[in-house]
Amino acid sequence: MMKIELNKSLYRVAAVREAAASFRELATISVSASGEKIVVTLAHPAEDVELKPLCDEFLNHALAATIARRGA
Amino acid sequence: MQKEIVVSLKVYPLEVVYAAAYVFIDRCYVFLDKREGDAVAIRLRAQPDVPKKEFDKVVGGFENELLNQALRLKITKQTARTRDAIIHRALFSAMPESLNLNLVDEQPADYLDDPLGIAVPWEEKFGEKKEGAPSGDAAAKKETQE
Repeated sequence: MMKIELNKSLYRVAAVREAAASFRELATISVSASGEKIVVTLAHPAEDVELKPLCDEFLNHALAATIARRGA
Repeated sequence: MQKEIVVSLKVYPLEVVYAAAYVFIDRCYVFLDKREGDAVAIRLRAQPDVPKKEFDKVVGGFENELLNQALRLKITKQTARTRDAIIHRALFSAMPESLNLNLVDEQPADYLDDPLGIAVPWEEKFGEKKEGAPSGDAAAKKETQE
């Protein structure tokens, strides 16, 4: 299981949720927002899927979605 | 293999960091984290099977891209008014004249008026005139106008 904390001033909650929805077939992903943090938990990866690279890909996806939503 | 770059948001605003990250997001894994004050940590992690030399190039390229985007933002802000003026001018020039707000009807015309003689038959207008031939209403009207 991997737990990641994202700062709300850098990542948008909606973008992180969108990324979680995109990756739901590859692992169990839960997203919760508390205070200044967005807490993401990745667990139970699918067969032939490593959790660490999956986590990196997830973070890239969340960042890209955040940038796209901001229109930067 | 990973590298962390800490930048001040005073030097590189967040939109600059985002723009640079977006350019490099397909070449490495990018993670942003907030630091003390107005600093942001950018963690770049190599994709699988990328040699160290190649990753070093990516990191260097990312740092250059930060500068590039910062300059781009500065120029964008400096030239914003000029750019807006050019766009306004271009849009105004493309407006049809009918949209000009000085809609003054100079010659109020009746629907029966035919100032250009369009309703006059060709024969009456250009054909040879026969003596005693009755002239049409339109021809009479044209003569009156002339």
